[in-house]
Amino acid sequence: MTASNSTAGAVHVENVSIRYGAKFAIQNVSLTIPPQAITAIIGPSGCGKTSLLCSLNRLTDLIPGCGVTGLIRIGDTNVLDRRTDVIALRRRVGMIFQHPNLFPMTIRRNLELPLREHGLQDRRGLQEQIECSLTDVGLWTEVRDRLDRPALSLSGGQQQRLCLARALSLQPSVLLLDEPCSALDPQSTSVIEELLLRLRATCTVAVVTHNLAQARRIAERTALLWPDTNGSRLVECSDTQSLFESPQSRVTEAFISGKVG
Amino acid sequence: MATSRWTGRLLDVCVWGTPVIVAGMFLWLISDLILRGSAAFQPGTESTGASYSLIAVAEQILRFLTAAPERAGRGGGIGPILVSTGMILAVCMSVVVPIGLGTAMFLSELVSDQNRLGRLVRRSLDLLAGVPSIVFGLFGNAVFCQWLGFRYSIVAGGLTLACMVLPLLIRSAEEGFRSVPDSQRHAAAALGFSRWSTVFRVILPQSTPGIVAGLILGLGRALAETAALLFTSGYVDRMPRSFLDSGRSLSIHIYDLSMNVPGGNQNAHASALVLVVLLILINLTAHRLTYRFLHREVRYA
Repeated sequence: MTASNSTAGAVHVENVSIRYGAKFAIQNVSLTIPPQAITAIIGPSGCGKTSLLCSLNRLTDLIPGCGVTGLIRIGDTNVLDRRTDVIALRRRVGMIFQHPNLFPMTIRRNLELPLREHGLQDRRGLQEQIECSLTDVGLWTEVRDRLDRPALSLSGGQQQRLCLARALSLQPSVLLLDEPCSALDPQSTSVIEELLLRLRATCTVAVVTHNLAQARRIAERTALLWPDTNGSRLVECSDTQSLFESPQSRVTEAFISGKVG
Repeated sequence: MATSRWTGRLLDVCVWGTPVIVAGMFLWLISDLILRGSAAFQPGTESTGASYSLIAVAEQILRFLTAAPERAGRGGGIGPILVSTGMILAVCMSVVVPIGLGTAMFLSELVSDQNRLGRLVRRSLDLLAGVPSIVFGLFGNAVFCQWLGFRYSIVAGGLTLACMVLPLLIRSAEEGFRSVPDSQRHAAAALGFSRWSTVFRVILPQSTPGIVAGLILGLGRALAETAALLFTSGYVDRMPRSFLDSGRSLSIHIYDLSMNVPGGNQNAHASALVLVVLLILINLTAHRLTYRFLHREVRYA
């Protein structure tokens, strides 16, 4: 991936508030997710981490009654602008969910469908891209002989990696992950973590996680969201090391030491 | 203790007994139809003895299915009737499938549960589903036969049936669409699918069982309908010349033979047997299709 692509992947979030009906999930959050690095977003359950992530690719549009205000820029795209081409945006911003959400089709079809949707039609091109993205996630040797078997016959860890391959096949410049390992066993988790560490060379990676140890292991930067009376606020966002070793806020200190949350 | 044990026994008997009664009624009906209807398939008196072979019976069945009715249906077969029935169903389904799927998509994918128009459509469908078929017949006669000038014709009958079947198909197709979890919609959206690609590539393939079930339900109801067709497609028993010609459906044929034609009972039973066999075949095919579809796509869900 070229240098221009990687700079295009920086994510700027300014004064973003998200509300469901009249209730605010997050209030006035500002942070920058730098390119070619992993940024972890941590915080207690229900503090709006997922909402924040979903606003970055406008998936919040799908939720009835959800409103997002503020400014989000990815590269030079103004994400929240009504005129922004959402489909092009989502093609550049891949997303992985907490539970693997493969289509109940064959492994091959799962990978083909998004590629075809974005205009890749010829069989050889498809085959090459499928092999390439499966190799990326280390799944090629495991599934090369059963590409035409149902994707849902794979194990949980394999399914999540296939989701990742499916997202990567579109060559996104930003990758959003919503607790990608919370439903996985430790071994699958470490496979995915290694993958993310490799991906950071080409992608801007933002990962929401419940697992503080995971944030420490893989993230360069960490942001902490904390619930307040009317929606969560950003408490602290800095280098992972300094956030864990010399937290600036008492809330952060209490949270990372396990006293609250 | 004793009472509760007896209550338990009683419940056992009821729970085991009711399905036996239900299955028994079905078997009784079928065997009655076979016993009385099969007389029509017996080779005539001119062929005796050895001609009671399977081939002779099959020939007789084939003749019954293809020949034209004679003496107002007392003799002959049901060839033209089957053709008319098929044409009426074809008109009905070619209207119902696109409108039904479109409306179901609208209700489940485009509007929220609170949407006024969506609620109005749903309410109307529930009411329509409960309207007696004779009322549909009167409506069809007024609108299709007279106002639109189709007169007594296969088109008018098919369109009237379409009005009856639509609510059934729409509700079950909508249920089919809704049974696809939102996570699938989110997955597709996050991969940059347009709304319509999501519907056609992701949602529609997964809701096929519901849609097929709705179609079969509708087809069955259309096939069995008598009252609505009485005033719309007419009951001329000759071979229809076009879709604008009048044609008699199988169910009307049965009605006419048993109510208006003395001595038509045997052929009425034979026609009823054909109707029931058709319905069973349609049901089996539907099960087959749904089963195969499920096992191809969502076996491990």
